[in-house]
Amino acid sequence: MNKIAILLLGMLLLTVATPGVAQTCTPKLDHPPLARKGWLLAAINPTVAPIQYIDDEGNIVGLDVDLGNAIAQRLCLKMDFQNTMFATMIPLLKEGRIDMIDSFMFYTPARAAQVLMIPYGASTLAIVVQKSNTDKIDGPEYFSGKTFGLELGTVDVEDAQKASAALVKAGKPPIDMRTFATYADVLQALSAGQVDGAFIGTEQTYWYKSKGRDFFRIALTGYDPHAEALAFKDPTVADAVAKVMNEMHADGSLQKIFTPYGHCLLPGPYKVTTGDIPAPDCKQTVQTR
Amino acid sequence: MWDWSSFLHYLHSAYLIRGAGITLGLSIAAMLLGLICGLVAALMRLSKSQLLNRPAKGYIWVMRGTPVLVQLIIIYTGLPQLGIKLGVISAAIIGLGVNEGAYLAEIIRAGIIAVPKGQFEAANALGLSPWRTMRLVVLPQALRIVIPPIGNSFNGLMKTSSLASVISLDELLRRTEMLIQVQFRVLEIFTVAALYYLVLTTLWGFVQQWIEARLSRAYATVAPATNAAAAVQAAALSHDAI
Repeated sequence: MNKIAILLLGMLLLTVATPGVAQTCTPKLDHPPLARKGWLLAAINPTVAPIQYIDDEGNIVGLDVDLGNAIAQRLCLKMDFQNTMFATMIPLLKEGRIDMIDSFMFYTPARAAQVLMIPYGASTLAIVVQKSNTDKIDGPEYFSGKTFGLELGTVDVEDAQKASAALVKAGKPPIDMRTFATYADVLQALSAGQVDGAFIGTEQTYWYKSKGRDFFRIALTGYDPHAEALAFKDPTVADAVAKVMNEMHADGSLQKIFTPYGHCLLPGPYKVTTGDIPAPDCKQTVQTR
Repeated sequence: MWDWSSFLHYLHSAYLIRGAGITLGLSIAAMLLGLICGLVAALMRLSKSQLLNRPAKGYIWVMRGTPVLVQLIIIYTGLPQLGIKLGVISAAIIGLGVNEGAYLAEIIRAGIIAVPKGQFEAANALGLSPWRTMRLVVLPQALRIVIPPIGNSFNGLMKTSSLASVISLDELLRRTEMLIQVQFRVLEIFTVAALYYLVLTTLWGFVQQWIEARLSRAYATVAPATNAAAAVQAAALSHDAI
């Protein structure tokens, strides 16, 4: 009897003596609509450093990871990133196997017509060329009749296609566009001289430069600011995420996530958006990280 | 949700049909190169000379032992560092063809080995040189044996050719991915691509059947005499044994 009393007292003391231990957080979303109880599942394609990539230890890291983790924490959920190809993200979302896409997905009206999108950030494009090319380049029109590397599935392709169509209309040769799976593949093609130039994300160009990939010249930065968005299927989940993002913006924590990456944060409010949106005011020049 | 109107719209997409044409052309070109590489490698493998045998073995070992995707990337972006810069189409044809050649070498070698030894001996007895024996007696017979597995290889190559998209070749699968990025109709557009591949492989199946039938015709007319000759030979041998 005495032993039982001592044990119970010990347990009580343990509870009282550790006020620093946080109380259990009640998840703000249930299953359903979540795909898995207690978890926020997000699709990510970690091939775009420094926004989302895999470090040397095999961990998925980057801005989108920090953002996702912060959102999950606010919702009292655990975060689970699923590394998946872009083409499978939308089917996974529509089937309810994941809750959101947190993968540097550019906002377009066509995409917003199919899934619920919350624009949150913006980035710009840079044009890179071989170091031996010292020409002044003002846009992709320079590559009329030349080869131009692009990452598949990005607004880079749309921008290049628009520029090429305009060139053809003006009676000039089109841009010979070459699409690759990732920016790394695009840069590899540039280093091999297989393309005369390429569109790379502005942040990515500085990232690669910082990692010693110094074979190219940055001819232009800050081209065509475009918004990125989180994507959802369920409006309850989308609204809950939008709410916490607005809270984070109000208390400054959202800005603290973005600043180290030098990535543009849209001013908010953050909400499910459809149709055309104005070009974001985003001037990326120098990588601050 | 499946969208029938999107599916039907993309089913007759000129953009994808042209992509299918590129895939077919690439596969044919790579296969022709592969057959040349495969035949040469097979003959080298069958040679008693180590100067010929070993390089062939090495070629087959490396090509079959490494991913064709890696080979394509090395050809496209690695060789330029050695001063050998190939265009995307050349790189794709060479990459796929040389890789396919290694597999075809083993198929052709198996076909040659399957030809009865008596054929070699008979040709030798008639005074044919090794090269004429191979060209006039052995290879025609081996061809009939290897057509089904080579046909199978070509069937596979038509799908494997999609790897060329990694080096930016604008073939069927790359075009499919391009459309998906814009429209997000993943299931519908991939299904259309799958149907196009099915059409290509089915058409090839008919061609293969025709080739096999044509090659079999010669054997249908020759068979009785061949059988008779074999019977005579067997009789002669049994008579000698007594």
